[in-house]
Amino acid sequence: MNNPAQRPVAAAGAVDFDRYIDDRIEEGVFAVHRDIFRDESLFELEMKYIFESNWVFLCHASQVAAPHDFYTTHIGRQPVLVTRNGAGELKAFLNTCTHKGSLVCLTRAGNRKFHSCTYHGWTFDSAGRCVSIKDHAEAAYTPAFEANGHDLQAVPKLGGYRGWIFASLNPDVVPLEQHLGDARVFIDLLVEQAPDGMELVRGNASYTFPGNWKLQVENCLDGYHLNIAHKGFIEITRRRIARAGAAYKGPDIEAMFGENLKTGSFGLKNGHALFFTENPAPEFRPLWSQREQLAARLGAGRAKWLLQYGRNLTIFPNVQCTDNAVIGQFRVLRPLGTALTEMEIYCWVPVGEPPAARRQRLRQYEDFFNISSTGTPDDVGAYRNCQEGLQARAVDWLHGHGRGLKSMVRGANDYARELGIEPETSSAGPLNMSDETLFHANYRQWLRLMKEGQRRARDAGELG
Amino acid sequence: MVTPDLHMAAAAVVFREADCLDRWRWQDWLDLYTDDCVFWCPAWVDEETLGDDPDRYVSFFYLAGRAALGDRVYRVESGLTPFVTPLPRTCHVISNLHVTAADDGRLEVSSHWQTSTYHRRVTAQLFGFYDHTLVEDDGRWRIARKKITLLNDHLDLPIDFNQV
Repeated sequence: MNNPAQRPVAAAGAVDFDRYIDDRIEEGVFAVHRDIFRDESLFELEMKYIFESNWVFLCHASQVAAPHDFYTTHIGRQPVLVTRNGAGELKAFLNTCTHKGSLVCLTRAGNRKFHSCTYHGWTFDSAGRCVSIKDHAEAAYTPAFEANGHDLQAVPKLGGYRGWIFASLNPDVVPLEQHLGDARVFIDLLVEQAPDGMELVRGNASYTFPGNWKLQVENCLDGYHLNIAHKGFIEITRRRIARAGAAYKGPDIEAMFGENLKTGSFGLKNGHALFFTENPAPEFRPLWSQREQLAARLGAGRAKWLLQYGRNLTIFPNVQCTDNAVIGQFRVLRPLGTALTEMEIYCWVPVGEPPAARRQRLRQYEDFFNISSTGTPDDVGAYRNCQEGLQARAVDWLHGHGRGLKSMVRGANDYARELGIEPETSSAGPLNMSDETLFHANYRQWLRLMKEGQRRARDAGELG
Repeated sequence: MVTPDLHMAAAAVVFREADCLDRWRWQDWLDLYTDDCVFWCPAWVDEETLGDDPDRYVSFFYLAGRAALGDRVYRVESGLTPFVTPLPRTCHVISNLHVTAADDGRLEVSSHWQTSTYHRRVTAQLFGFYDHTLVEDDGRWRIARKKITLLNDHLDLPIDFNQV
């Protein structure tokens, strides 16, 4: 029912990407052109210059935990097989048989020492080596053919940070640590919640939405939509509290969604960004009872950030994690077309959590975050409405990136100093200010990568 | 032994439930459920394995108690949510219904379903199985438990309780 992914021919010649982003901060101006969400000639270029030239998130280590575990996913448009070899080392390969091109691994995840192609039976081990060519002895291959390697082609760069596995098809990409920069601190906060680490709960929730992928990038960081798009969720919560009456033992909902809730944001280097809220009722977080151990383990500053700040993190371009109020959600996005995006979403939980706490966490995840919940569907509805509205091509610029600009600071503010990080921009204010300057980091990185990619393509003689 | 009368009674509840959802008779739909009902739609753990434990795996829905169903009805009726505005139209078609177990005052009913959802000029098709547990309550059969198996779980649009 969705339109097939649009695969327009890339624009001939050079594109003036600067025309999409009006970045004149000194004059108090930052604006994004609507074409960035609807111009079909951009999609191929975004795939090539952003998703297939830089680091993208592949999977979480818990999805490939044991030797010979595997997981299939994509880098941009390209199918990828992530496996652990017999020694437990992580490997990533293009998931395509070297013989005729078929997918080598057809299933989502599992454990296999060997991946045998279902077409002609060429077989590869979990280290990607071609270990069997069917009827090899009788093949009458030439010595020249035999001299070629037939192993699966490795993804040039594979890296991990605290169990978050990233890869790049570009062998010259910057080191992963440098790419992540200060975003590592927020991955630390997500990972350090539990002494035995964190994992993704099994149970598939994958979907497409008829909208551009950057709508998802923004939404995770957007505090402004909370009490409008999610009014239905807030009203349901009020009903539940009223129904419970005196028996209600939970946070004050009016404070949780109130306009004076303290919020802030960081625009980080390389396109990453964080939106945060000061949780007015941290004592209801499942971890609150462990606050002393957490402070001892992590130090007071990080423990405070872990327990008392809700955090919504986007690692540009394709992974997001929220850790707010009570529960965590992990989202991986993949653009399929200008107006079609695929999502895989997960509940993010401590390893070895007591069953009652796990049950509560799952129910709350299903209540707000899952694709069948009372929260996420309204975001998806909003993306569709945006994508349809953006077809008003007579309108050029969005007015959606200006909130907070007057009070934003370059570099660190007091919140950033608590964590010892150096963001590109920092912002703080009540929920009803709802900063939009954190999105600038996303779009600056978009522009940087598109221009860099075009420069490389020109140098390689690929542009006319 | 499942008598024709029992079979008819079971079918009447399952069909009536679908009819209430499709005709937006939300309060009548809620009235079919017991106070302590469970409405469960598990997610798939892998391509061939359906989640069998809601406390271990994610579910699409695990709503315990009629009040929790009422919250979802409220959301649909309130007009507060961009996703269900305007309200999607649905049509459930149910077949292959049979009673798999009958105890005193308790029926297990299996069926296959297909739901078409029409929203904003787009039609989505979802399909799967139902396993209803019906209990006799004050002279009528009510739904104590409904397990929904959703077979095509890579979704083109978000789903709500009335679309599966």
